Amino acid sequence: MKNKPELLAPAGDLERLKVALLYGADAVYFGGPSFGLRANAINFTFDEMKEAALFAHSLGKKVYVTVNIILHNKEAKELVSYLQNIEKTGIDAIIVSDPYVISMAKKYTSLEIHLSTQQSTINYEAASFFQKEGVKRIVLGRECSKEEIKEIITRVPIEIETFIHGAMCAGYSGRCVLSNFLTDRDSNRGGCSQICRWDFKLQDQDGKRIEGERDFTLCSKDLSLLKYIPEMIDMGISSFKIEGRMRSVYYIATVVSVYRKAIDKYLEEKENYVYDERLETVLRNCANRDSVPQFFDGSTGEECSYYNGREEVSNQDFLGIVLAYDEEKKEAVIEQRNYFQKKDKIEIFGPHHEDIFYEVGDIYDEDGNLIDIVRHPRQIVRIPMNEKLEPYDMLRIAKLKVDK
Amino acid sequence: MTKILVIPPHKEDISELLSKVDGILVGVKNFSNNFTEISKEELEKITKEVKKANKEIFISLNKNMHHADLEALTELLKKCNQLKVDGVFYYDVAVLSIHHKLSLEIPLIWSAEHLTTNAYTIGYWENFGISGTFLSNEITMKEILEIHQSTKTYTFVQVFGYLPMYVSRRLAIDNYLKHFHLKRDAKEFYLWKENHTYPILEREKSTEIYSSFLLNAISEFLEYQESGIEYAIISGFLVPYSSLEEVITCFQEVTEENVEEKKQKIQELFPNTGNGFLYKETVYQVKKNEK
Repeated sequence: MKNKPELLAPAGDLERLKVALLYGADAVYFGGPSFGLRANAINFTFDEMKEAALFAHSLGKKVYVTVNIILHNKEAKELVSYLQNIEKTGIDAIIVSDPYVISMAKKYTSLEIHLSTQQSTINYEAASFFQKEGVKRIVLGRECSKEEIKEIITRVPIEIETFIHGAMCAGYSGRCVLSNFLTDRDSNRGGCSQICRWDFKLQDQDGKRIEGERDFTLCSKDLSLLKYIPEMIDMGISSFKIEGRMRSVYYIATVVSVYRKAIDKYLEEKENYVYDERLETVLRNCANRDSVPQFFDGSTGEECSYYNGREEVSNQDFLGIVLAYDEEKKEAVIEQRNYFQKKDKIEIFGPHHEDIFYEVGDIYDEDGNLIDIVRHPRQIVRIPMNEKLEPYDMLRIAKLKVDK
Repeated sequence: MTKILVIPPHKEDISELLSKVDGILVGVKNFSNNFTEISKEELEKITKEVKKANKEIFISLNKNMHHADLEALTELLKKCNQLKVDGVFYYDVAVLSIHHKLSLEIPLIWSAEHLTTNAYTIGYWENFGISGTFLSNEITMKEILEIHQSTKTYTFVQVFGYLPMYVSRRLAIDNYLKHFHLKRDAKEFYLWKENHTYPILEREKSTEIYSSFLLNAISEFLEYQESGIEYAIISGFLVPYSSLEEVITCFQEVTEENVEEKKQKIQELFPNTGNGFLYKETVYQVKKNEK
């Protein structure tokens, strides 16, 4: 379909990769054993890259590998063999930041090259330079407004990828080395320790504290462009990127499925498209941070800043994941992820069916004993369900409606 | 010989500094981050003054260029070309792109702040005609010397002053003051955390944060001289002029014999000096997949 953008999701491991693709992502990106910007994410081995590529290709989808650190001399020496090893895994493209990687990838491999947001490409002159250098796609800097994105798309014949959801760097990508100075971790080589989320005291020239109700922070709210999906499709953006290689399987499934629905709904009936506020609620319930459109609509003010004092509790909505469905007994086999019990109102969502709203009835443990509460982490239970569920379907607390 | 360039504390200091250093490095209002700025209108007058004194002038146009900046940037580059400034420091590839498009002759200095960390990438940009690189402050002394030996173009290294740590498109101070309904009474702002104080300032459309200490690489300066590094940069940005003068004198007079004395002298002027990353590698390690 013309103008159908790719939905691109992050993956910290093979499980999250499979979930992202099953829930509607058209492509997934992840890091390899070296040269990636998420040193703390669980990165993929070459064997896992191969498995990821095979799985994605079996669904007609793609996988991209990040090679986006800023090189130092000693790493640069190992680059070519690393790129050649990546190529052998059958992945579809690499995402690079350091231009030297572009030249080496072109010279020694046939890998498709995407330019990372770490290059902070925010104007058509820079985009044009990299297009001539053989880059197939540019991930624009998150500081671009929609007018700037339009300008680049109009002037430069290249695929444009933009972030649509997730955490924001507080500074220009590449121009923040707070981690280096405050924690000795290199932010441009995978060691970002998110100093932008720390609290500081703000002082004047005499050391006098300038005190608000909360401490000073550089922390930014997250990005969410759900409302702008139709406009972004019409602008001709090639790929919509979700941030978060460190995020949970539940987060990935929820965010991917929400954007999948929004994109498909608009493409199916542009004229009659109505923004679905329920999807926004699902996103809000899944994340534990506020989100705004950020620079896309020109915002740079206080509405984008986060002064909540790091009150970020982990999300407890995710109750369990479906491992299997016993058609004979009409029972779902579920692995627990958070405490739930009989009579809880839950919602089951998955890639291949509408959301199912449900009040928990009988629950059986693995030995067939009737239990009231599923309290143990990763506990396996069986729940009678008339609706046929599938592996990777997920259970969450119902916050919207329960109709059965 | 290693030439000394200085970033003046204020544009008004330029005239006086010309007799003390080999050249000046300044930014231009709305086109620079982490530099003392002059206006576009002052560029011609200051360049002529510097040239008249037989000194060098480098202009830093090192901000991230948004679409709205491109037209004025183009004019500015033409002006720099016409004035024959000794070089333009740049961060955004747009500068290089426009330079090529207009076939300008001014030397370009790749100055992508924290990204200028290896000889191979410098080699990449050398193929596009750059004349030099302002090396990152986050690499070690050993790396600096190694890079200098393996590149064909000029090497610029900071030897004194506050080190840039952060540039944002947002106005972080303004947002904080507005959010908590606080008045903007302070002339200067600092962030305080665990006994460290970091200068923070806003420009029209950006926020910048600096190290809690001033780099004092006077000992290393001798080694830079010996290895033939072409330019050493003394940053007077956020530094009082009177103290800066003394720092410059120390750098001019330093020898193997008096280096400790000169280093001590600078430390007396600025108790918060340090080596930065010259002898300290930052951590870079991708976690092994344990599965």
